[in-house]
Amino acid sequence: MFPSMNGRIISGLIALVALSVVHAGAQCDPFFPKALSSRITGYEIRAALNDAQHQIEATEVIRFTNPSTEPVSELRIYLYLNAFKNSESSFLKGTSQIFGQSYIPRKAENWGWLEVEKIEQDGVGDISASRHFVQPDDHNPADESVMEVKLAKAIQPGETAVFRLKWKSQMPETIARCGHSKDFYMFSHWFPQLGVYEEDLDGKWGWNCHQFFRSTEFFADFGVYDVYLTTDAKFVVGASGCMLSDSLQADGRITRHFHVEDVIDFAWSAYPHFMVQEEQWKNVKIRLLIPPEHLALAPRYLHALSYALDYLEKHVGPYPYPVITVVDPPFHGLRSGLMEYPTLITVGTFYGMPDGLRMTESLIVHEFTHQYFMGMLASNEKEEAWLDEGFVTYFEDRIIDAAYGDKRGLVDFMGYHFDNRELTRLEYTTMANPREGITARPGWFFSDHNYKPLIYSKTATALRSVQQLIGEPLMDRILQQYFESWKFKHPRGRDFMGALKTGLATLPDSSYAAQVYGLFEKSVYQALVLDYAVAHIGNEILPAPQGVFGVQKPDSSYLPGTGQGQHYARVDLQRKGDWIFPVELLVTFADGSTRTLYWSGEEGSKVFEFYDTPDIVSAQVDPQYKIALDADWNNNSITLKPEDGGLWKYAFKAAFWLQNLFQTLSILS
Amino acid sequence: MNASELIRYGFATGVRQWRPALIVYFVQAAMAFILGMQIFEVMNASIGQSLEVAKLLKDYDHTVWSDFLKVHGASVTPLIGQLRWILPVWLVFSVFLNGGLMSGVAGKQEGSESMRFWLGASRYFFSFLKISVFFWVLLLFWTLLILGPTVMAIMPSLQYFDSERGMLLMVFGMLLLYALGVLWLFLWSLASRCDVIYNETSVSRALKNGWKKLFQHKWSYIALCIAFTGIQVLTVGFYLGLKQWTGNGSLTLIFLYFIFQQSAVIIRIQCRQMLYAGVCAISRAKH
Repeated sequence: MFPSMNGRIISGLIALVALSVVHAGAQCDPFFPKALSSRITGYEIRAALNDAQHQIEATEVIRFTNPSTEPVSELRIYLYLNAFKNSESSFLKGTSQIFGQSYIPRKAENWGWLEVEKIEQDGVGDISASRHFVQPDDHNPADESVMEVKLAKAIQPGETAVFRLKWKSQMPETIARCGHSKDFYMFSHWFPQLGVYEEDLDGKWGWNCHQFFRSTEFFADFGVYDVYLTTDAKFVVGASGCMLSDSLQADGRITRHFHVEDVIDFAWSAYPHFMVQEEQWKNVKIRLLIPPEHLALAPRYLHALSYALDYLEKHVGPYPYPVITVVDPPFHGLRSGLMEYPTLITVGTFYGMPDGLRMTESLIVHEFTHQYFMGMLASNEKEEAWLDEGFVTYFEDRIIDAAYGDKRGLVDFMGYHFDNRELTRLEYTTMANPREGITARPGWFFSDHNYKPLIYSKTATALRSVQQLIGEPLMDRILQQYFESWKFKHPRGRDFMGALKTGLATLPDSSYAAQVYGLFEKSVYQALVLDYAVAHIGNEILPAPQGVFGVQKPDSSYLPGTGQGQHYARVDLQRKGDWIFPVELLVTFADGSTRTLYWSGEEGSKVFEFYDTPDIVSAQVDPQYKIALDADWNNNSITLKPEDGGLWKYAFKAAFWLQNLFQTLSILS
Repeated sequence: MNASELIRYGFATGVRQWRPALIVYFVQAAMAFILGMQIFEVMNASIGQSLEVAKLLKDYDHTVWSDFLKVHGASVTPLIGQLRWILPVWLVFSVFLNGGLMSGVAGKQEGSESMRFWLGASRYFFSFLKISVFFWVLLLFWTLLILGPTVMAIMPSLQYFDSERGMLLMVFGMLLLYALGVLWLFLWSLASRCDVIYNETSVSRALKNGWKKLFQHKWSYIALCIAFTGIQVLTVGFYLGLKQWTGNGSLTLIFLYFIFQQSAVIIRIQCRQMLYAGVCAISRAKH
């Protein structure tokens, strides 16, 4: 070789080494030997973050396989970021506050948008001209959260089409979930994403691609994601899936390659001040990205998450992904917290959060449980949010209360304590108007104040009631069967109801099974109130029989009524709500004996009578508190021997603190 | 007298004059129990016959309380409304009662303790009322000056600081500043009242003299305040800690803690009396 050629080769080798810093190894192995889902979609995104402008420039390749039996002649694509483009979008219209904080006024660069500059179809060419926005739900012409693209060449059944996009986005200063807050970024629903091409309830194929509303979340198809993210080197980045490599670019920025399979979405976060805590739970890597001021709370997060992994594996099914990334935003970025994305969740806490306030733990358990219901079952959160949020809340309650104790699981602080289940039930039962609508309807029909109580709390309380009526083992079997049968298949409400009916059919009493099924069905598909009460209990000695007995003289006889008559006792029950469900009644007598009776609840009231028994001391409907949907447990019982020590205790306490208040307020008197 | 002598003097005087403290206690207790027992009556009438009430004896029960408030909350609302009216009435009445306490420990009058209490309370009521109104207005200004901007700055500060720690430090700092300001107003008002008693001056002169006195002997005043406020804080703290340890889940414990609670209230009144005695001793020392 000539010296000049040697020099060029050596220089080239040096440049190659200098330009690429290859990670010692991938974070984890994201490849499944066999696909878990149908992988209808595939995404390859190459995105570069311009931190100064808070903008993303990207190219994207979308692969779409037509799952139907008919040709597909258009695409519908979510452009969620356009919900933050202006105040007239369907997401922002009609309010100046999101999550309790005003989002206006704001400068032009603090709004968000996503513009698809070009879209090409392989084998066809540039189809950009056929882009337009559609508003299939509210016909709001200002809303640009759904883009339709007419295809010059239809996609045949079973065919895979490839589309190449060039797009640019402005990340908003966070209004809801995605955006930036100072130098913290949360990229969620941040790229053009296909809707779901599915068969509707009438058997017709079409795009399920709803606009973005305040009260809806996300729904997409399963696929494989390869995402290359280029950011300034200062950022610590967490994303869905596993990082396979990171490389240093010539301009000093870093490009990280993430890969994740059989998921419905991809999210990522970047913040220069994240500290990374990693733990291994069986074959799952837990990766916690946490700001330094919250580092003392990391053990709480990790303990709760490990417990949830254990619990859900045992009671629902295994978590199949190799990683779960947890992003704890800095407090100023908390609007991005409390959300779930496949294999990445965002949580939220506060510096110095006391041990007895377990919102930290409750949040991470809730968001992780979404991996099962949002992530793997992946029902349509826009149309049937209860199938995700209700089930997640139900399991959150079970997990937190199992981990941290009944009655104290969520809060145990300065003498006040309650658990998750109590809070969930009360969120539903304390609704101003629990009849204001059914749970099973699309998200955009809910308001800010009834969305959570109905979708999260009422569904979870109904599931808890079912569990208590049939026992935890059978409940687990039903849920495990549902999960196993429908994971990666987008089940609908009717699919869960079918699984529930099948599971309940294993009960020995078929009419009981029908009643329990009816209870849950009504909780989701009707707007009724369940409230049973013991209205009265009474004991008396009836007068002895007296008067003329017999038909005609001389056979009739007269009794003067001397001596004691029968002992008579009664319990009056009332059904105060319009929800009919059979209930148990436990009657306790003065001699300590008890009797259990049943009432169908069909009538509005019922009297149970007892003759020649000891005095009734107390009567209680649903003595084992199986029916958590009951609106008021205080009226479920009456006792003739009240223990009012508790009332005296609180009266004394109230007087004591009033005395202290008077004493303190009079310091300037 | 130095600070420790003042504290000892205040303590001894307060203990000796337990009768006026009891008068104040009974008046205060009557007002508090009128409201407190109404809570009992409302709960008893609403859910008193429910088996759920038994849970309240053993421990706090969030479900019982929440179900009660949801269904019967309208019965509780008037009680809170009553408090809104009782508090201003109490503030004016406490001028009378505290005046009696202060004139009793000032030792300027003849007669029994109870007689000195009632005579002093009526004699100085209008002067002390003017002084109180002056300080209530100052307190309002101080509150608006410090707490108002603090509350308004909480949310914007989260954007200014890198983390919520900065906001918390800011809030704690402002609360400390506020408390120091309230302490200063409190001590100034005491010094002014003592001046009225010993010099029989006008309110405006008493305020000026009180300010001067406070500045001259500020460390003695602060020592007295720390000592007698500290006893009160320790008493209430001990009550809370003991209750946490033993629970309050039986009729015996409820009765015992009732006694403890009322004893704690009497101790607080006596500590106020002891503080008055110490403050008045400072004023008297120059006369």
